[in-house]
Amino acid sequence: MKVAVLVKQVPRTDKIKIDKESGTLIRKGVESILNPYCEYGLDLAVSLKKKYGIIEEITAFTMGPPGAELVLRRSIALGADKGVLLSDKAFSGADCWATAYTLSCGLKTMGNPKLIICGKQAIDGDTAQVPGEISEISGMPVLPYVLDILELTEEKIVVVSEFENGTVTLETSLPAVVTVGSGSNIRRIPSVNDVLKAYESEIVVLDKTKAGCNDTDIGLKGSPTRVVKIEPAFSKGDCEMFDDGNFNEGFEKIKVFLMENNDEEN
Amino acid sequence: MSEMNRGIVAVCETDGNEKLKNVSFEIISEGKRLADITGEKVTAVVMAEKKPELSDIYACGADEIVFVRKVSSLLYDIESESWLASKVIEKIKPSVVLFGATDYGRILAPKVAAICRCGITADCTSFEINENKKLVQIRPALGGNILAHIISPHTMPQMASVRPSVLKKMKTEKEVTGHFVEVSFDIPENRKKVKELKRESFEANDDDKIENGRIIVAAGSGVTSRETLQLMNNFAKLIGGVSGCSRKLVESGWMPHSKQVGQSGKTVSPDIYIAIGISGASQHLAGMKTSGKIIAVNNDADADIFSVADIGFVMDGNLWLKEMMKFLENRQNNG
Repeated sequence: MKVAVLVKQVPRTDKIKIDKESGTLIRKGVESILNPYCEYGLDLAVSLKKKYGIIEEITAFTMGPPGAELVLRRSIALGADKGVLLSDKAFSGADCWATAYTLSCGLKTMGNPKLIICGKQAIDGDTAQVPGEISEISGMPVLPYVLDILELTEEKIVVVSEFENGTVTLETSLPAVVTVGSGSNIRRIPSVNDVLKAYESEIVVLDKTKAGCNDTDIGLKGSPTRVVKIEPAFSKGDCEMFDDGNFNEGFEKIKVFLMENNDEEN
Repeated sequence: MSEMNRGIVAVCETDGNEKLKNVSFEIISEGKRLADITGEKVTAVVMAEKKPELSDIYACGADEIVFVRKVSSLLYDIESESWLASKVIEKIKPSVVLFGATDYGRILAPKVAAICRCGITADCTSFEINENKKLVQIRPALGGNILAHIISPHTMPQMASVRPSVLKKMKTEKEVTGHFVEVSFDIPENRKKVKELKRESFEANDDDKIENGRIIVAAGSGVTSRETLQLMNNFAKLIGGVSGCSRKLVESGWMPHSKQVGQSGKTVSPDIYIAIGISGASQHLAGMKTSGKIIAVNNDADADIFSVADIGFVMDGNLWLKEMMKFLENRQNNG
């Protein structure tokens, strides 16, 4: 069977600085990485391929400008067999729905894979909406927040999904979309050979025509939502500081907080 | 199209015991606040096996309750419930639909939006109504570094999921009541493909859930020994709080995901939040910075956590915990 992994190139949000005056992102010096949740998804696909003999091919998909092919090469270095880049000026400005639609078109070109693996969310937008929307647009069920896959055959999949207050073991027929919410926090380092292979691999590039997209459903035009304003998130910035020398004074203040809290409760 | 859509719908969520989750009351209350501005009515949609406690729902401001009796036994029946919600929405034709951004809500909502082919904004933390009567959906993005204001200019309904514990639950004191309807639909076969084979709840009882804690003590990557973590748990108990953590401690397997605060975990807003060894990545801050009082302990005086804190200690977490517990015990002994 064919497996697709959806990947996204994201800025390292833990290194982002915002211009407090203008509310804009200071891009200088912020590196782009493979979204960690997508990497978990890729790791899962690679381990499934090793474990079950039935996976012929893992294809990494992304949508983005030409430079986003780097994230596909990274995916190939980490074990994907090939990469497909959906890239067209007409895709720009896409919100979650238009992104999900465009990716769904791309998936169709490979004869609809039986299993579509996504990270549960990307660390830049953090919306977590694309996998659910793809599942609807492609008419497949979605199994979210997968921790482990217990069984995989040509017909069905059994997974353990983690929600905030417990886990459920779910079974569904294929095709299906799964999302992955956790994985090893030790980043795999591909071998030199794998990196070389990745850089020699051909990346399939699909524009809107090759992907078979409707003009009215892509990019800004196809997006039902609009960002109308961006502002920096507030910070308090008036923290009273204590250290090894005067912590008891700080403790007195905490005691007051705790007592106030008790009064409210009683 | 927009002239036809009226009303605000809150899609509620129940827990394993068929009780409505807190976030459901929060979105009903927010729906009421918005409805008072736009002059619309609020409908709470409850999909559950049993009829919910109605008075609590009316007390938050719902004018109407639509109850859809669940027939499947799946705890999280994403496929059928996304379809059911879309059917109810098709009937009501509301202008706004709100979901709780729990793990379940965050997968249900985009599916409902895709079925209805309308815009949706995830994880909103506040709302406004603009001069064109559009819903302005405000959410943190880029790891909580910015707030984005988003609208759906051309499509209806305007959908959003709402971060739990951010908006306030309102309650009217008066005896209130409203309209109640029970509806049922035949769920199509292609929506019944997922089966639940097993269900395991994490042992956390209600008192131990971080979303219910009025005091939270949370550990970050600066907590490098199990002893310190144990000390922190003891301290949390001593002051009547619950323990939580940042993403790093979940990844290292020291704490369960259910205890994680932040963008990929839970948003909390307790009265007091005590952060031990948390550097304050924006993802973490996004999940806790609306807390009442924030106390931060970190070795590094430049740690970002201090930018949102009220009181900061540049100290080793282990030492701080020991000294703090000593301090509180002395206080108790001395009356």
